[in-house]
This record gives sequence, C-alpha cells and structure tokens, in this order.
Amino acid sequence: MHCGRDHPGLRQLAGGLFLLAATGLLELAGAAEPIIGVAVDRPQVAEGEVITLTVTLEGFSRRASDPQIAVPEGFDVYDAGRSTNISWVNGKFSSSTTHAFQLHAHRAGTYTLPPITVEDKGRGYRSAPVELVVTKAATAPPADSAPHEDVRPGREGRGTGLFARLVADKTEVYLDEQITLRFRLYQRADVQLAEISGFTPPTVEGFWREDLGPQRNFNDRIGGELYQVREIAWALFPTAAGERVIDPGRVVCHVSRHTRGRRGVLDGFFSRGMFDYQQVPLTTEAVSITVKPLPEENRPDGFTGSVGAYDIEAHFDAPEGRQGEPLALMVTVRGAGHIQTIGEPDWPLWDGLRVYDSGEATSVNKQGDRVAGEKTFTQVLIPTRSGRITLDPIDFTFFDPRTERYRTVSTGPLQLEVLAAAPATGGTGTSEIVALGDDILYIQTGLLPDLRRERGGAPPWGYLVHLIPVGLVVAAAWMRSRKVALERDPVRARRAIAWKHARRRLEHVDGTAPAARVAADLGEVLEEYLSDWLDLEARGLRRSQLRSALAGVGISEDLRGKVLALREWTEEVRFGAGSPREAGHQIDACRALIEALECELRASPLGAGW
Amino acid sequence: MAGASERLPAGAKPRRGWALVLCLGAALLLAATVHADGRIPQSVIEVLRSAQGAYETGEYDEAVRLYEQVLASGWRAPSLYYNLGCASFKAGRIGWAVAYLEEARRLSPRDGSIQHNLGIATSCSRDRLPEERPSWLLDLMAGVLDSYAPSDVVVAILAILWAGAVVLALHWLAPRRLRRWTRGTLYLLGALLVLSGAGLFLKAYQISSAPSGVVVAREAQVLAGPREGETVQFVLHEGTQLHLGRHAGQWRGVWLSDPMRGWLPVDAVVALSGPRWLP
Repeated sequence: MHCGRDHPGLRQLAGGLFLLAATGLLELAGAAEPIIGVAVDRPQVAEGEVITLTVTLEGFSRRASDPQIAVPEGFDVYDAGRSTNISWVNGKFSSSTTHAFQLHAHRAGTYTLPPITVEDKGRGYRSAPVELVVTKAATAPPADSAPHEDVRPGREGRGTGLFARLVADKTEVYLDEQITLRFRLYQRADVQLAEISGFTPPTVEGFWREDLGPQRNFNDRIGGELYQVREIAWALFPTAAGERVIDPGRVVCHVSRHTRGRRGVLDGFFSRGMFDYQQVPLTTEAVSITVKPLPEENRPDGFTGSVGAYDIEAHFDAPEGRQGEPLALMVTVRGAGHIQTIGEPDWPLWDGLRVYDSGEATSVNKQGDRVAGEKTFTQVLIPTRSGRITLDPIDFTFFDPRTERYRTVSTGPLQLEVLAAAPATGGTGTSEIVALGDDILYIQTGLLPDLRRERGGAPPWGYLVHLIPVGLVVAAAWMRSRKVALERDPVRARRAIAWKHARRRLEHVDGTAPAARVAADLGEVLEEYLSDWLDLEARGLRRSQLRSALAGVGISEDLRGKVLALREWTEEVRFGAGSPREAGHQIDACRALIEALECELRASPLGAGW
Repeated sequence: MAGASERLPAGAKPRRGWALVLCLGAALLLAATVHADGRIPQSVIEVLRSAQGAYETGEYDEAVRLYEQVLASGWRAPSLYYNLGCASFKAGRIGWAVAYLEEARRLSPRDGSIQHNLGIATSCSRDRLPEERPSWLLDLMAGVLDSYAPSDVVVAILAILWAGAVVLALHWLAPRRLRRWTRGTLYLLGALLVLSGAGLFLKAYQISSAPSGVVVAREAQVLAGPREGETVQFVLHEGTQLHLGRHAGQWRGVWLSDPMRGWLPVDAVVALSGPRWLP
C-alpha cells in the first residue's frame, strides 16, 4: 500500500493540504491566476549565436499544454528541456514548471517574439512579447574542429561540391538506450552556398527524440579537400525492440556560380549581377538500427524500466522533524539516460510515518551529445511518534547498457530525529487539544446484535404484519357505519341491544331469592326483550295477542308455546298459583328461550340487514 | 358478543367483525415471529471470533478472508462491512476498503466511525475527481439525504401509517368531544406522511445518481471499447468510485462523467450492493 504505509488519513487543515499535495495537483497554486514568465539570457546577439529562452509556468494544472512559441523568420528553435520545481513555505505548496529553449539566430535584424501561449482547463493564457536584436556577425561563423570520419561524397551532389550524410553513433542498442543521430551538410571550400531551404529532418518512428541544441559548424578535410560542415544532432531513445529504420533526411541547397566569360556581353545586364544560381537537392542514406530488448536474466524485482547510468541521493528539507508535523523527503536520481521516463525508486515501508506522494521534478541537461539530468521525487512525511526514526534505504534499479547488467543504487539508511509534538502556545495553563495522529478507527467487536441473515429471493412474509393497521381501519369503518345506522333507526337500535340487555339482566337474577321475586324478574326480562324486538308494550298484551305477534314475525310454533308457557308460569308464581320449586330451572330455561328467540328473530324479516 | 355468538345455533348471523380482525392480527404476528429467526449459528460466531483475533494479531489478510466467509454465508450488518473495510485497509487493499466502508455507510449513514474510516480510505485513492461546488441549498439537501438510509424512511412511513390507522379508528369510534383532537393529529400525521414520501423520492433519486462501483485494481486503464488494444481513455486507481454500466463479456462499461467513460475488465471493479429499502 503506497499511501497508507503507516498511519494514513488526515483531519487537520495542514493534513488536508498535504492530501492535496499527495495528488500532485497542488490545487493551492491552481487557485491563483496562472502566470507565464518569459526571460532571455541576453536580448541582443550576433548572427550565429544562441539565445536561451526560459518560459516559467506558475499556477497551471498538470493538464496545461506546453508553451506554444511562434518563432520569427531568422531563428531556429530547439527544445532544451524542462524542470519542475516544488516549494513549500509555511505549510503551503507551490509549483512551477520551467521550459528552456535555445533560439539560434541566423539573420540580422530586430525581431519581436510574439506572445507565448498556454492552454489550461479550456482557457488560453498569453505572455508579453519579447524584443530581440540580432546584429551582423563580425566574422564568419566559427568553424569547430571535428573528429575526422571516413566520409566520401555520395552520388547526389556529385560535381557540385555538396553532399549530406546521416550518421548514428550506434547501430545496435538496447531498449531506451541513447543513440546520437547527426545530419551533416558538407560544403566544399570553393563552393558558394547562397541559401539552404526545404530541410526535412529524418523520420524517427519508434524513437523518442530530443533536440541536442543548435546547429554546429566545423571544418573537415576529405580526400585532401577542405569542407565546411553544418551539423544538427538529436538524441534518440528506442521505445520498442526490433529492427528500426531511420528514413533519410533531405535538404535543398542553392549554389551561386560565377558566369563571367561564358556569356555574351549583354548577358550580364540580364543575369543578376553575373552570378547564376543552381538548386541542388540532397538526400542522405537511411540508417538501420537494431534495438535489443532488455535481458530477462537477473532482472531484479524492483526494476521499473529505467536505462542509463544513475546515482541516487536523499535528504530531508529540515534537519529534524516534529511529531504530527510534515516534512519533505527529497530523493534525487541523477545521471545519464532518458531521465524524463525513469520510474520511481522502490519505496520501502516505514514505521512511525505517514507518507504522501507530492510529485516529482525533472531537470534535463543536454550539453554535448548526451542527455543527462536529474529527477527528484518528493514525499511528504508526517511522523506519528517522537524519537529517532531509521528509514530503510531507498533503492533504485536500472539497466546499464555499457556493462549490459542491471544495477541497484541505494541511499543507505536515513536517520530522522523527531521531536515531541509542539505544546500549545499561551501562558494561561490551558491548551488546545491537537490531534497528533489520524488512523482508521478500530474494528467493532460486538457485531452479533446487528447481524441479520440476508433474505435472498424469499418473499418477506413477515412484513404482512403491516396489514394490521389496514384491518384496523376497515374494522373501525365498519363499526362506525353500523353505529351511524343504529343512531338513525331507534327501533333497530333497540333490537340490536335486546339480547345484550336481556343477558345482562339474567346474570343478575338471584336463583336463591324467593320464587315470586325470581318469577317477577324473569317476567320482566322476557317482556322487555320482546318489547325491544317487536316494538310494542308486551306487558299489557293478552296471550292471544302475543301469540299472533310472534307468529307474525315468523317465530316457530314450538317457540311461541315456550314463550307463552314461561310467561304464564311467571304470572302464576307471582300471584301464588305456580310451583315455586321450579324457579331455579326457569332461569336457565329463560336464557335458552331468549337465545333461541334471538336466532329466529335475526333470521326473520325484523333481523334483515344484520 | 363473540362469546355469545359461539353458542348461537346455525343459521344465525353472529357479529364476526372483531373476531376476524383479531384472528388476522394474530396470524400475521405469528408469521412475523416465525420469519424472524434471529438465531446466529455457532459456526458463524466462531468465525467472527477468529476474524477478530486475526485482526488483533495483525493478520489482516486472514481477517479479511474470515469476514468475507461470514458475508458469503448470507449474513449482513453495517458493523460486518465496517470490520471488513478496516481489515482490507490494513491489508493494503484500498479499493476493497472503500467498497466495504461505502456499503457500511449506506446501511448506517449516521455512524461516525464509518464516516471517519471511509474518509481516510478514500483519501488514499490516487485519483482526484473534479470537485463540483453546489449551491448551499443543494449542499444542505445532500447533507440531509446523506444522514439517513432508505430503510429509515420506510420505517418512518410505516410508523406514520400505524399511528394514522389507530388515530383514524379512534376518530371514528371515540365520543364526539374527542374528535377535535383526533382530527388535528390526523392532519399532523398526513403532513408527516407527505414529508416522508418526498424524502423517499429524493433518496431514490440520490441513490440512482450515486456511484455504483469501486475500482479495486491497483491501476486500471479505461479503454474506449470492450477489447484489448482499444485506445486508453484514461487511467484509474484503486479506491475510485464510479458508475457502472452494462457488461460485454469480461468487460464492464464505466463512467465518471459524460466525457469520461469507457470499459474496464470486470475484475478491476466491484459493484456496490443495491439500496435496501426494507428494514
């Protein structure tokens, strides 16, 4: 785990800043208006000299485009590398990227370098224009001495004293190993070259190309004749193994010839001052390169594809750290090779530190024919404990094509003294509580009560319990409708409660009371019950009237007889004619009789609608 | 009346309303009781103890394996996902840690420990998505929506419905002098029901627009199409939450926003569980 090597996480404001830094985006810088800074090492040069142009981008995001430079006629531009600088002052990060260009002046005049443009997040940014002055060269361009190579004129340009060559310093290399490719234009000393145009550099598919500065001029002697040589060089880094062909380069030269004596007298007036101009197209040979893959044998685990010859060093930005406060660890890999593409060192796991990536800065040096430089990887460390912390060595593994072996360089163990967390300022005796560490919280141990079995596809029958309120509402609605109906129909209401009243009164009839009393109570219960149902005063009815009333509502003959018999018994006992010994039995008989009546009355037309 | 009805001869019309309601209620309660088999097998308890022991001794990979075993046997709990997230984080599996802690947060959104650990796990992801600054109103609404789970709203609605049913029954059956109070209570419950319904709707919208997956591969190249050799659109790292689309063989459509979409191998992402609406 790269981020959470020890105690990852952050809550404090400062921690938040480092979190942003860990992304490498440095949004703090991005919050301000981006700035394009343009500087030249000297505003005035002579023909053939070089101006170094430095473009510094501050506050741009990582997705910002490279600076776009519209170079005026009279200059050639060469990329001279880039470097990224990260600074951290008072807990705030800022970053800037510096692009270097070399402007080779080859024609005198006063020039205005148009504004340099950069696009970022859909917006365009422009720098201020720059004035440049190129004076006439005092003497001819200096001619360097160059190592003599076995160069012979080719078929093209034969007889013109001009030819071109494409030269690679190696034709068999390893993947990502540098090749120096040179395009040379040879001009014999007696040839007057008026103009060079239409230069087409060689096509280098399958290679990463870096310009190696401005054109070089030197003299060379070939076959006893002196030649002036113009050379442009590139550093190539193969990106894939296999046989590669670098296509020829092309150039068109315009040679001036002296024509006096070979033309008529009047020709001179019409021939541009007695000189004739001849166009000479020149083409180099193609160059074949064999790119070997990196050997599988003895390839270390920590190898990330870096090729070249490098060394590594590391240092902290402060001599000592403080618990809970960040400090930066800068690890610099320095050497010759394709420095832009080298991978990160092999970061070990460190105890007692929270670690956050905070980007990398690259500086490329292309002096001479070799590409070299350094890449600095910055890690923000937050000590989580005080005392001496020993960091395990940081290794960097690369393939050295000179020895054809993998090599690992190491920083050695790093010692860091960490002071205890700073006490709060103020002399009142109280202090603000400061969070010193921020790790994930511990696991929960009592999770059994929360544990539930997933239902899967089973229907949740248990949730049908929530239909109960629906049933409750339905029941309440039914009861309310019934209550309203009874309130609107008093007769029906009496019938509805007849049986309830009769049963309640029967429960209060005392069977041990005197028989007359029992008979009176039973008589009243029966008569009230019948009065409620039949909606008439039963007490005053004669036997025949009661019989016909019961028959009228459909009460069976048998039940009518029982009603009349019970009524007759109650009257006889009340008035002394009946047998008082039957009183206890008559209570049960009366209850049974009323139950039977209730059933038949509900089934009768009077009970319709129940 | 029900007792009397039982003694009535056939052919009578007894008053069965209350009896039916009570029988229905009893049956449903019984069904719920039978269904709610909360007993946890001893084997599961033992595995959980072993997982905790492995975590305490620093054997985080083993703890992850054991907790995942419990998960695979069909048991769920916010605390189970939380522990899995902690163990995954300690084991260096940032993507899985984010996935499990996000599952825990969705089940128990107000748990501070889950939020804290999820914040730390998320901060370890290398990818930073462009932050959108919503208006304070949307920010406030998002905060409110984040504070409850879908099942919380469902529980609230069920409670309101239960209370409403009881109050409505009282309103119909109570004496006239009490109806003023029951009527007011019904209005209040109705307003709460509308609010809860709106909350449920917004929660459903929030869930539908939330990321549905997490990158679990250390680094994953999002390709333009579902096959090897397609153009690399962009690169994601473990712990990044994203939206998942359709499957195409061993590939899964993903997107972060409109211009940032493509395809990832299915084993580079893990899909988060869908929302749990029922408590």
